[in-house]
Amino acid sequence: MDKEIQLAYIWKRVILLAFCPSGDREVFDWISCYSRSVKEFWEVSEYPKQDKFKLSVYNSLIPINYDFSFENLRKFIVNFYYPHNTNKDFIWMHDVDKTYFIPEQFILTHDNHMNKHLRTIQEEDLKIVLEGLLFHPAAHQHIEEPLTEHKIRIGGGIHNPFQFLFHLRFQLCLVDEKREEEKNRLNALILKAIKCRGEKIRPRKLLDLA
Amino acid sequence: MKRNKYGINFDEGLPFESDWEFQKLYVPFHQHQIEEFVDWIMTNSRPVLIGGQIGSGKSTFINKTFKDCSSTQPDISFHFDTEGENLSEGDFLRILLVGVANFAMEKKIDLSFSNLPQELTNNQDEKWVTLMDKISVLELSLNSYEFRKTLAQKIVENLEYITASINKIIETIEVNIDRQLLLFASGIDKYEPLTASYFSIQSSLSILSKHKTIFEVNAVHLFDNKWVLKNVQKIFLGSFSKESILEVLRKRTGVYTKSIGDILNNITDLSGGNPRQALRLLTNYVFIKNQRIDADISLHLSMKKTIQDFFSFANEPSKELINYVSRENSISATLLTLPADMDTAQRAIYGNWIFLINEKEGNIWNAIVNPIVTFFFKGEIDPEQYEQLLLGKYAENKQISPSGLTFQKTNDEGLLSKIKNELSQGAAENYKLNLTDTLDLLSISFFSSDRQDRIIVGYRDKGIMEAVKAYVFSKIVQFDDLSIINYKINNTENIVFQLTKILTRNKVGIYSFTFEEDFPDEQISEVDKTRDKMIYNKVIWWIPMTFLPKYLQKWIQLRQIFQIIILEDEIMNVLNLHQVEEDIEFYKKIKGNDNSIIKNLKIVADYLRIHGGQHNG
Repeated sequence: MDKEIQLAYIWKRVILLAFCPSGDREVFDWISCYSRSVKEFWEVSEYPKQDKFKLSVYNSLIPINYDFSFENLRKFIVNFYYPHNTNKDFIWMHDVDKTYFIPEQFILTHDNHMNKHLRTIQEEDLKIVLEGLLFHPAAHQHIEEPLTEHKIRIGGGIHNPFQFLFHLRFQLCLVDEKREEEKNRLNALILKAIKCRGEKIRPRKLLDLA
Repeated sequence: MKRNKYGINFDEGLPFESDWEFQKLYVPFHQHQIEEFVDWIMTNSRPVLIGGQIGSGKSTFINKTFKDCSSTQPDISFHFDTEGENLSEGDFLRILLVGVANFAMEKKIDLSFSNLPQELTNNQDEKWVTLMDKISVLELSLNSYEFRKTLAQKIVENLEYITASINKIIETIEVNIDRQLLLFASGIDKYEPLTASYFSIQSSLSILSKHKTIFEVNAVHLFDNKWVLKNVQKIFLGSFSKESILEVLRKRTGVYTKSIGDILNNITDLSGGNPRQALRLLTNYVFIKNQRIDADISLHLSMKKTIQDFFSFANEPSKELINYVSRENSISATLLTLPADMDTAQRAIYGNWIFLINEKEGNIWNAIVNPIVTFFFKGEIDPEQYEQLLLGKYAENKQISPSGLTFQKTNDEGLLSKIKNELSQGAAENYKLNLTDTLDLLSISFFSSDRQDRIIVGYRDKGIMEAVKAYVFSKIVQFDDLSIINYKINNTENIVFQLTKILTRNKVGIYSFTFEEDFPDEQISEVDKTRDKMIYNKVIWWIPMTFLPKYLQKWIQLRQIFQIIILEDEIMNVLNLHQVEEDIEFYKKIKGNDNSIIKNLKIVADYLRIHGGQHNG
């Protein structure tokens, strides 16, 4: 049980360090870095279109397209599109409204022993957390047809907008080598940030922009 | 050039140089020619011409060969396209003189037998080393430019003496190093036959033709029986096979080959075996497809965009010639050697209207009409060509006839004739993307720090141009590591000088050059030779429509690396004053008051306030 509580604290810490920009300027900066980073990470030819806090990732090369609109940290929408040549696009919406109850935040806030649990963090602990947060969310959906890429997992239960965007960036990358490199990079980056008791990870660094 | 390890690698068909490029992107072709070239390098002592059409892979071929036989490299390379400034006879000879003298000095070979430094400068104290310093100076200044110009003048006034001196220096080097020099003259392919600069370069080529020199030329030069290189060994690089073009496209699309799918076959067909044309079609296709347009329509629009980029403003060859090649699938070499042939075969080959495939027999060459220009000659060529190309696919996608796909067999003559009509007008009308897409194309393509996009924007109204420029720049500078230099080309100085000056003195992300006045024809022709100066930079040129069509006729090489966009007057309709004002407020909050995005947006807002835009207020 202790281990699971520790992992829950790590989980919360990672979100705070990497996925909680605050204020318009930081949010804009995070989304701008994201926009640049997906082009680099996927190795495609164009950037997504960004209009203030909105992002439209429409690229015929990647498996599924999406647009993102952000109201605040508690409310955002991602529309997914599958472009079809003869009919209208197939669209489904990932709609998050955190005015509804989410239990783990509540429990951790009241337990209030974050520092104690983070002091003994091991690399393996962080790996487990990042798998669940980004790389292999527990609740996820696959696109079965017409794609055959079973490695793409769209996490259904992610309610942080930036975590959700980041996980899409990872999931929609088709290159196994890059996915593996990215896992290692993030592990190292976040472990260092946690051990340094640290400041938030700057989006440029998080999104691996030179 | 930054390359992607697994994904998309689009460019304008830049020659490969690095090991990685040859390993991952190179498609082996012209194997027989490589063997012939290697044999020439190892055994021959006379010059050789390496000839191919624009975008056929000449430079990559040469780089590849030298990579394979790494023990031998050219001793001296003369870049006649990038080192020349005013493209006069003296300027070309200056390039030769600098090349050989610098090599001699590197090898510490005594050149004291020649008094050229003193004679050329009228300065008794001038030495080879100081003269070369002055001529080879990297920093371009008005003084050094004037010095080189004066020097070129003096050289041409003493042509015979300079020729003898250069030959003597080469001979002295060869005696000292105890072997024959291997010389490489690159960029000759940029000189269109029968133009003034083509004649000016002849004396330099004549000197080089006495030595072991590789000449990089256009295919059309191989047929020129009047110039100084007519009796030189020739290696011809013809069109790529379909399989090879398909492989080129697969390698360029990496892990996304599957996402693009069968369209690659259509692009291969439309490329006519020219790798650069294939790449341009593919790049345009992916960009248009990303605007949420169906695949078949995207292909259609990609072709129109490629026609606009490469051919819209070019001089068409005669219909009779196109008809002939289309019917016979061949062309006689004698057609390419007729005097005053500019309107027919030579221009058609030089401008890629016709692709030469290989030598058939005797004087006859297998050839095809470039598939994307067949539409210029509607009604003049065999309609069956259409079915081999886009219309077949189009009809298939529209479920008109999944198997027949011929004009004769189709049941819907009306639709096909409509498409055919539309395509045939592709060259005449200025292809218009949706207006918002035009702005997006301008701004989005410039966001990328690894792509070296080059765009020519034609404008009719200076005010609109300034407002659009400000809008696009406001988008671009959101990416804070992209700096822009905005330079107005004036007609008091030579254009090439101004372009070179800005490119060499300023290291920025984007170079924006605005042309407002007209320039003499001679200068405009010189600009076409700046292709390789532009190719590694992100460049945008703003040119009035009153001059642009005339300029583009002379910019056969530049058209290969620039995308062309015409600003319509209505483009301002997509900009909405209310939205622009909202943007200004937003960026004030995000970036603070004193920011170049806000400055640019204010220019747009001011323009809209005075002239109005759609849904203003």
